[in-house]
Amino acid sequence: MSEPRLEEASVQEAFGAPAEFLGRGSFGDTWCIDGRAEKILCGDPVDDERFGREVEAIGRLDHPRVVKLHEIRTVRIAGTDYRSMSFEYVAGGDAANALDQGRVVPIDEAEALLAGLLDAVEAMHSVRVLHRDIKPANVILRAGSWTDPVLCDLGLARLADISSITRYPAQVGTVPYMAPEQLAGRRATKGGDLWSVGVVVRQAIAGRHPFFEPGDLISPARFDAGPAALPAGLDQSVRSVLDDLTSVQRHQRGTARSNLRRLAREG
Amino acid sequence: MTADDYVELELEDEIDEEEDVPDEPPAFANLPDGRALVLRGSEAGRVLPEAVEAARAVEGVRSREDALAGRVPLFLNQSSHKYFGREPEVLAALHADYGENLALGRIVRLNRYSAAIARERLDVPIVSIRIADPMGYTAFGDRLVIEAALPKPRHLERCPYLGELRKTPDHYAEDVLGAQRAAGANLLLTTGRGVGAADVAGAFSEISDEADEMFAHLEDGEHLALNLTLPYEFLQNQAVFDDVMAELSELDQFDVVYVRIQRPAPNDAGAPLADAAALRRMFEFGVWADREDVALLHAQTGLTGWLMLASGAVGFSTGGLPSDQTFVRQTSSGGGGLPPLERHFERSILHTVASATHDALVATGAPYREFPTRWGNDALAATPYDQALSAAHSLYSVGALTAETIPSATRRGGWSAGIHSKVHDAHSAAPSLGLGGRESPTHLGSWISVV
Repeated sequence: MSEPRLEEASVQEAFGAPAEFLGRGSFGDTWCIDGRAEKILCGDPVDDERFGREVEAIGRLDHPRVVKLHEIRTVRIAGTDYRSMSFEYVAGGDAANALDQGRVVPIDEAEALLAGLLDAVEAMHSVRVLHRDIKPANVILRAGSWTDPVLCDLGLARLADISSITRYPAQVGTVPYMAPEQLAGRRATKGGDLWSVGVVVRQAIAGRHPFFEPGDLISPARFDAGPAALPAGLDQSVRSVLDDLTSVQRHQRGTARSNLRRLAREG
Repeated sequence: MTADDYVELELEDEIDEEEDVPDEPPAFANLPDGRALVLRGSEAGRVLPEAVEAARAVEGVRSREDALAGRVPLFLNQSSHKYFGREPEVLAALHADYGENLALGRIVRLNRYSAAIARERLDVPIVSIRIADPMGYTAFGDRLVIEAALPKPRHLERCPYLGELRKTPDHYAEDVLGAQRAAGANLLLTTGRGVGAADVAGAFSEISDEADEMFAHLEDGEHLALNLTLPYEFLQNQAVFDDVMAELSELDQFDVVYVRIQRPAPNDAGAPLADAAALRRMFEFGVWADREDVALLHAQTGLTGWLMLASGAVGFSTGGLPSDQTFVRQTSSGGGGLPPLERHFERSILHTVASATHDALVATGAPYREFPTRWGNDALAATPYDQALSAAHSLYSVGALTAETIPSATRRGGWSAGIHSKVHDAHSAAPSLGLGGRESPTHLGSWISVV
């Protein structure tokens, strides 16, 4: 696990409670404090106006597949004021850790993982929030179960500068999950979130990134060959939806709602 | 006299006065408001104050939502400014003959009529869908290669909002919706502002903002469709097609898309689209709509829209004039391409021919097969050939073709087999008929490759 930017003792003192370090992101560290996940924005600088807009929308979300934002406050830690976002804490670890440990999703649980993530994205899109950074590290597996995923770090990627990250796996780990059109410099879209869901679920099933090997240069040309094959035995409706989600053509990806409908209809 | 009395009287008349028995028995349809409409017979078009017994009525008028659901195709009649007189009668006959397999709708263009006349044109009791097209694209001639200076002063007089679409003042959404309500529309549209190939994302950004505005002004029970006007590059240029489809996929708040797609070239106005690549893109649009559960309605397509029912589109519109059937680059005279000639629609070849050619085909016999209608017969018997009756013949024929190619057991997405069969039959029959020039159904070769 990566190292925190702030000292544990300082964090505990500021919050007046024991703090357990959970992870480090591009613009903040997350700690488990008093039964909540506190994201302390101590990393890259954040645009104030964007921050206000984003958290207002995120705060309106209340869905079992999306971590709940309880409040935002300013906390003084070791003489410096930081913003801290207080989220619901979901125990179980994230999908990145599970994959690092060699755990892949069993084939018969793939549909539940896919449907769960689409459900989360649908909830976000319905209130016009884009996640923009769906990746294994932002998928918490409640109680460690692939069938009970919860999305975290909502919408925060918009606040970070990711233009300089070009190699997989990069420290931030975002670019390998970005849709081809975003890599080409276009704006983030709902379709981009859907692409990321497709990539994450394919990776969770196969245990490897569907387009890139470690050390690969991130290049849109990699997409021309299509994603790595999925294992035999995977449900046809899951395979079909995953193929569409990882289509280079945005319109083939549909919407979260339509893909959920397809899974329900064809599954 | 009640509706039942009327029905009894009709039946008694048939029994007692055998010499007065009409050629067609009366048919009735119960209307959603509790009244009944006489569809056929000497009183066709008359509205009875009360509903008739279910056993005596043909399929009732479908609700708006049922008509949009894709269980049967939606046949939209673009009210013609020239040949509108017989359209209600033709629509009633289509409902009487094919109501089980066909939903009907009616469209008026708001820039062509006063609100009162538009309302009168939409007041056809048998239709499920009433659209008052705000014609917003006419304010974006530069994006759509419309050569004429539009909107013209008279258009602005009827639709003042057309002069404000580029400025989008606070009240424009209410104005556009209000104009449609005043005309009696029951499926409301966004403005239809043009999408330019040079800045697809910019145009969709405007459309998205507009959608927010218009949804905010909807009243209870109203249904808003996305009104999309696409440039010819959508069918011609893969990058533009991909951009439009990508942007459209982001607009997921609409479940109905009413689309007008410009023809790639100012070809024979009214003729079916024959460019295979363009047809394939149009087809992919329909496949997308079907998968996304979006009711796709093709405006101003004529028979090409019928073909697109095979792709997953729910409906299409046609009308009496070539300009009702194709959306081409408009000239300063308002039309496009060649002037309309004597054109008699032949269902057997999915194309039109001159009346003299029709007579020759009848004399030829198989593989030609005649599909006569009473309007077509009268048009052919008139001297000169009667264009108004011809328009009624075409309207009925395309409606009948639509209903007959759709097995009642299927819904959209399952209509391709019936359409393929009709196209295949026409394609097989055409070569032996010796047709040439504009009468030759050259489009069928491309159509076969698409369906």
